[in-house]
Amino acid sequence: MKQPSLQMTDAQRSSTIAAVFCITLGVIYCIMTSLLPQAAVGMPNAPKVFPYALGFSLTGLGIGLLIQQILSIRQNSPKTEVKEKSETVTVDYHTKQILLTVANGVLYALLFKKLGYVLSTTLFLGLELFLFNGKGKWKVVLAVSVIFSLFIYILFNKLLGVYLPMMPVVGF
Amino acid sequence: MDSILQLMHGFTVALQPMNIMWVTIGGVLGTIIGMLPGLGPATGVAVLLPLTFSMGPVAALITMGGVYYGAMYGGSRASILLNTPGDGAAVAATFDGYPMTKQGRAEAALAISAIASFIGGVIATVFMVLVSVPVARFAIKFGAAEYFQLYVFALAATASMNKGNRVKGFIAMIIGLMIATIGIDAQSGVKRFTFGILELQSGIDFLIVIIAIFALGEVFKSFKNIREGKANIQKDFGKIWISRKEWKRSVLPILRSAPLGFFIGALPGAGGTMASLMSYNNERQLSKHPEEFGEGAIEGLAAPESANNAASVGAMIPMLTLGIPGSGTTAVMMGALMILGLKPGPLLFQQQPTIIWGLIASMFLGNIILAIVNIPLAGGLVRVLSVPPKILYPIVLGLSFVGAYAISYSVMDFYILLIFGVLGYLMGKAKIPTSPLILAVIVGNNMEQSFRRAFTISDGTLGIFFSSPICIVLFALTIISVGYPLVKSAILAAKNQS
Repeated sequence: MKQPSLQMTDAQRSSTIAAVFCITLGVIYCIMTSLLPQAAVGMPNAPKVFPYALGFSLTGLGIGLLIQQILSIRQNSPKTEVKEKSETVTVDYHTKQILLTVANGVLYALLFKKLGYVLSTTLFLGLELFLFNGKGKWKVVLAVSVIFSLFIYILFNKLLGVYLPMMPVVGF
Repeated sequence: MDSILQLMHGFTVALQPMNIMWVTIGGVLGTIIGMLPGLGPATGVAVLLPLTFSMGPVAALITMGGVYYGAMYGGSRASILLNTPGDGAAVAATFDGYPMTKQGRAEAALAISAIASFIGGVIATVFMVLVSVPVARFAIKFGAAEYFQLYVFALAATASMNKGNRVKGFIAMIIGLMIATIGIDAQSGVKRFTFGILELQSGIDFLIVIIAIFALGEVFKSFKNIREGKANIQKDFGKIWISRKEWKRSVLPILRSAPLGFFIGALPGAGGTMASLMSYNNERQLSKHPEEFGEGAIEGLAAPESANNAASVGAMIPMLTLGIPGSGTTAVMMGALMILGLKPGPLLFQQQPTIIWGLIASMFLGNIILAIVNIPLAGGLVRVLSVPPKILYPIVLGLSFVGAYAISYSVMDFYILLIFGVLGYLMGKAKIPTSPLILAVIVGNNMEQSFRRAFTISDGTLGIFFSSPICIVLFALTIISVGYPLVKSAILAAKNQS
């Protein structure tokens, strides 16, 4: 969403993106609704009515939000300060941390059943603590992740009867 | 009379030694989670939920009640000592609580917060005993059309409560309803929006959505403004108590704020934040020295604490009697009830009196135990705050994942957790409120089904939605809740222009 001719504040930019997202999601949702199979019992289109209403509403609300934002951007005085550069740097770092956390979570999901709870969690938590703390505190990172995984495993499996996946071969 | 007998029976349940132990453990754990900045009672209950899965329904609910109150106490601790409220409802406690700490009156602040919360909670529980049975009896008369109107009202009220941009509140609501349509349609058996994924056929569990938005969303947010190093926090206290003069100043505000908090809490969408802020403003207007508010006036802390706790009890009423949670925390508790195989709604009072009254009795008990735990142990508990958040946030993440797994035993939910965690974070960035989305995910399915049932009963005419007085009243309430803020802002704009 780059509109170099218009100056947008951070809030306006994120709202505009949200509006475009809503319109897109609304339209896709409507198309997907139209592709749903018909009901074998009762009114054939009954399962589609409610989703259609939702899809149209979201598209409408998205258009409403977009108009709102366009109007407010127009009202903006040209003097509004937009601190583009400094903010991009911090946002980028922030986004990177979030993306790494998500990637770590996906890795966790992939390894969870294969490695068992204790190992996969030690790895996941260790990486996450590393992401928060950096290299310096590796002893704390290691201690916290091992103790947490073992504590939760024993608490859940032995005391609470919620069974978490065991490690292969070792059976723990 | 019937209610009082039932309540006595509830007390015999709640006073069993095991249940007292659970409420205490829940309370202490809740206090610890509640103290973390950004993590309020809803996250606390959601993250600690798996602890209760192996318990019986009564013990589980009692433990969660303990976590709930504990997290509220913990939130107040962090507000008073560190100026970092755990959730919106604890914000008002910073206005005068933190100035009191800076003036060296942390002891009095901690004491009045515990006392006010205790009194507010007890008064609200008395109201609950009086109100819940009549409400449940009334709700039994509701048919499909009435329920549909009720859901519409609850959602519209929550969506239009958004202070900033109302369109965004409704956007959140619609997205939540869309999430609720995922899965096999209960009436026709048609698979909707499952993308061929087997695990999605049973729909997305709203508890996963709640854990994702509250816990993961907050952790994502924390990357930006995480505190460096240890917090500079007072850990050694003198005697935690208040003087007679301070008590005199606080007692009326506490008593006034409790009923206010209770009724606001019982409204859909309003909740503790609004209750505590309203009671704060109320007391400032009634006070003889309004200039002291914000500078460490003890009644400015007492009133919102009382209202906040009372609201937390009030929020249980629509959840237990109608199946519509009044707050994030009651939403999680409703999810837990459903996992235990109970269906919140008017029939619950008839079918499961032991559970309901055991829960109500444990609210009394939980308030007493937490006041006991929190006053002498305040010094020890706040030491948790000196553990750096850089260690605590990853642990919250670890707890979220194990919680999600324990709900369904499916790794698929890890992906759902991550997707909605990112969504929650992005919504926060675009200033879209999350509470309408959460309520919509919870009631969405019932809302659609009741709409279609009513439609079938009436042979396809819309008249049924306006056929009873209850329907018409609920429809009018919906119109008012959407229209009133619009009219109000239009009048304000006109005034500003002239």
